[in-house]
Amino acid sequence: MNLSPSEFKSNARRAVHDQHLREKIKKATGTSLVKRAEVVGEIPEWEELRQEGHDRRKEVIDNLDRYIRTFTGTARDRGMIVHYAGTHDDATKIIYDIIRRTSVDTVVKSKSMITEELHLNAMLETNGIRVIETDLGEYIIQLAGETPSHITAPALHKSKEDIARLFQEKLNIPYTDDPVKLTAVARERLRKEFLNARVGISGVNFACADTGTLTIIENEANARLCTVLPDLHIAVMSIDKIIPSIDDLPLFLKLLPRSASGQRMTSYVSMINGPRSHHNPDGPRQVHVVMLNGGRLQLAKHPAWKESLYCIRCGACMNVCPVYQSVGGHAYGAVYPGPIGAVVTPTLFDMKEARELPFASSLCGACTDICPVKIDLHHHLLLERREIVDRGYKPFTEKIAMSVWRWFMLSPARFELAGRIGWVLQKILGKKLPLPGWTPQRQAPAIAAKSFRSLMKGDSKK
Amino acid sequence: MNNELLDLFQSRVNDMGGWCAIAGSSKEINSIIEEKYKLGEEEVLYSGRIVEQFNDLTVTGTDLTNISPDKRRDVMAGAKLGITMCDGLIAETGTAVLVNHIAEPRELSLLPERHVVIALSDQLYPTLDKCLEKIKNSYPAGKLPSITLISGPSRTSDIEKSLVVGVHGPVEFGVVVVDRGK
Ligand code: SF4
Repeated sequence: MNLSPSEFKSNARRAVHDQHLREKIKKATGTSLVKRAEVVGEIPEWEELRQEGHDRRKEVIDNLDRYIRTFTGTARDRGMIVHYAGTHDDATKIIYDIIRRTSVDTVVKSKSMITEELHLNAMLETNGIRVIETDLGEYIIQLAGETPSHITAPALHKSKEDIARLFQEKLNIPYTDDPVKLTAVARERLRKEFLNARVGISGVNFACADTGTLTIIENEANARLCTVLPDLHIAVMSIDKIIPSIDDLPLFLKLLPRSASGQRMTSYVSMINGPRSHHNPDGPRQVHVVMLNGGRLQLAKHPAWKESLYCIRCGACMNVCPVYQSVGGHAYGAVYPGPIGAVVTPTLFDMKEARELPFASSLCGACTDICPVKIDLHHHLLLERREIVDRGYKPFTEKIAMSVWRWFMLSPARFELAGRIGWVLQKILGKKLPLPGWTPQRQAPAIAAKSFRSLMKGDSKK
Repeated sequence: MNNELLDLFQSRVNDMGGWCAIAGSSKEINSIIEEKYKLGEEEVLYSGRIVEQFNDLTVTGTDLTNISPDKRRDVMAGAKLGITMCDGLIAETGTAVLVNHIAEPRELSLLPERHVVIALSDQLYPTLDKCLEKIKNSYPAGKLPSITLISGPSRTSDIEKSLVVGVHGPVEFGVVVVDRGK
């Protein structure tokens, strides 16, 4: 798999032919969707909650400058050290500097998509710092030397047999594909690391502007271990993770776990209100918050595209997307796969390089329907397609083909003519009427000798 | 005591892979836990908050505050059971809300192999918003300690979506609700 969004087409082609991969993805996404439907069905006011979630996120993104200032102020009042990083490079430098000053060579880390965006592990490792991923899925991916293929289920593309072989090879244990035993092995290995760790890195799900609270949602307790045991905690977040108030948390805690994993609540929610102090008797002595802009302030000013910043990273749009279900996360060649990935990769990173992604959709709208904060995902894909064409990022031949198609479609006579031409061509070429991108996989439907319109006319004359 | 709410709470805790028992008096707490786990005194750690709360309570185990601070973490990591109080129970989701407390460090609900919460029946709330509001209002602005919401034992579905209970945190989780009016 080539990890660049510009390779989407060839990656997708390869993935589609990988029957084994497709079965694994189908099973995982299917399980998540069934569980989600059950617990969402229990809430009659779900639609209203989605709208409320949308409105609260909009409030922050519309006033992002102000919310950054407020959150920074309250978090500092609570004794946290807040760093603002304009670019990805700034963020990695800040994080590296914090760690370097402690002179440790090992850090424990819980799941965070922003650190994926920063390629943080690779950068720290070239500087001699060992990063231990502690979320089971991330641990598996790290052992395999891969990247996550789903934002909430990073090892979704691996079967238990794949993981069994990986553990056997990398951890020197006898082969077992029993998930219970594999999990126990990870528990035992990582427990030692947690107890020795002096620096812990985590992500942030929601940062409350009014109280400075960092909220982290998880099931395995690894994020708790990373943020409670070490002397120093580094929380890495992007600026769009802010919510107006701690009073909004119950709403988002209703929307996120249900959408992500079909749970009414995850096993753990940590609400961190600062380092160890008189009011907060245990935990790290230092809490650093690294806030990444990385193009988001700019995006927040765009009238349409700002909506993608409302995302709370539940992953439901991936599970429900027929394209994601067929090709999996890696084919996108981007940090964020699936519908939300196809929306943000071009606007937040590089539109030219990611020009294929907005086209990786049937525009069925399933993503928009499932999104817990009501982001109009498929319309954004459509808008971005237009932008990509306007900027001339699509091949010239495609432009010509589209103008020809347009010419034929604009008058009934030309449309009729197109049908005749097609019929004649089919007569000459037989069933093999070649349509690139269509007929290699499918048979072109037979074109009737008489068009529907002329049949209608004939009828009305009778 | 709202029985419907308690029933809902109990069934939600069960759904999450935990257990919930009702004790009619503080005396009953000990027999519930002993019967469940049959552990020795040195295997069970309880928080100093429990002693503050119930002066008539005898729990088999060791009061964490009696262990010297530099040894606490190792003792907690080796314990078979950690017992804590809580600051609220949420019926809708089967959640225990724990506010960071001097006599009850967060590690006590995290490092021991199992975790049991002792709660009073009047700590039960229908939903999280009500409970959070109450907690928020009982601290001066800017002085709210860290809070942990706990719903069941630690779990994962990272391997082929099959549920495995007991990952990095407690392998078992239980709640004893003390209902003095029972
Ligand atoms: S876009 Fe919506 S559905 Fe997709 S991950 Fe974000 S919040 Fe979830």
